[in-house]
Amino acid sequence: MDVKTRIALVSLLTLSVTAAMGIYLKNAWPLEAGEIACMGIATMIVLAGLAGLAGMWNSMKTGQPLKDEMTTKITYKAGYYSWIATIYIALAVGWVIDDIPGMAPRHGSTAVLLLSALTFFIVLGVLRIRGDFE
Amino acid sequence: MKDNFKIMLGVSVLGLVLLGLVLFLIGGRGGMKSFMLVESGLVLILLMGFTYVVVEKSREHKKGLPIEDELSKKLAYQMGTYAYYSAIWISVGLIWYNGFICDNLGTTPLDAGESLGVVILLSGIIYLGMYFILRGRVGST
Repeated sequence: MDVKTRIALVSLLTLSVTAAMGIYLKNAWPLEAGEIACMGIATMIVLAGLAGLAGMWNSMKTGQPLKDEMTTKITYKAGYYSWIATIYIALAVGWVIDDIPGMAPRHGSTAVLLLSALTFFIVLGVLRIRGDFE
Repeated sequence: MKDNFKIMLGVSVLGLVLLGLVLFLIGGRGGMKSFMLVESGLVLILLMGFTYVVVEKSREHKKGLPIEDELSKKLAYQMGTYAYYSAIWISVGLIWYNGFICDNLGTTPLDAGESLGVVILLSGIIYLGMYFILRGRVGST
C-alpha cells in the first residue's frame, strides 16, 4: 500500500471516529462519569491517529520509507507489552465495572478496547522516544 | 539457575490453572451455563498447548540449550503483537455482538465476565497458535 492510500485511509478512519463521537455526544448529552472517561480516551486515540497521519505526511514529503527494521521491532515490542497490559486491563475492568456509575456489563469490551488502544499508543510513544527496540 | 526457576514457575502456574479449572468444574456442576463450558474448553486448550511448550523447553534445557535467546524474544514480541491485534478485533466483534446483533436478533448479550473472558482466552489461543506457526517457519528456514 503506497503512502497516499494509507494517508487517505487513516484520514477516513479518523474522520469517521470523530463524526461518531460527535453524534454520540449530541445524543447522549449530558454525559455520565463513565461516558466522559470513554470520550476522553477516544479523543486521545483520535489525536494519536492525527499524529500518525502527520508522520505519514512528513514521510511522503521527505521521501523516507514509512517502515524500516527499527520501527517494525519497536511496533512488535509495543504490541507485546500492550497485549500483556490488555490481559490485566480486562481483569481489572471485570473487577470494577459494576462499581462505575453509568457502565453496564455490556460496556466491558468497549472499555477494554479503548484502554488497550491507549496503552498501545503510550507504549509505542515511549519506546520510540527512547529508541528502545532490542 | 535462572532457567530452572523459569521452568519451575511455568509448571507451578500450569498446575494452579489446572487446579482452578478442576475446582471450577466441580463447583459449577449442575448450575453451569453452556457458555461457561465453552470457556472451560478454551482454558483446557490453552493448558494443553502451554504444557507442551513447557515440556519442550524443559527438554531443550536438559540438552544444555538456553530457554530464552535473541530469536525466541523476537518471536515472542511478534506473537504478542498478533495476539494484541486479535484482542482488539475480538473486542470490536463483542461490541457489535452485544449491541447490534443482540438488539436485532434477540440473542442474549454476554455479561462483562463472559466478554472479557473471551478476549483473554481467544487472544491467548492466538498467541499459542502463532508460537507453533512461527516456530515452524523458523524451523523450515
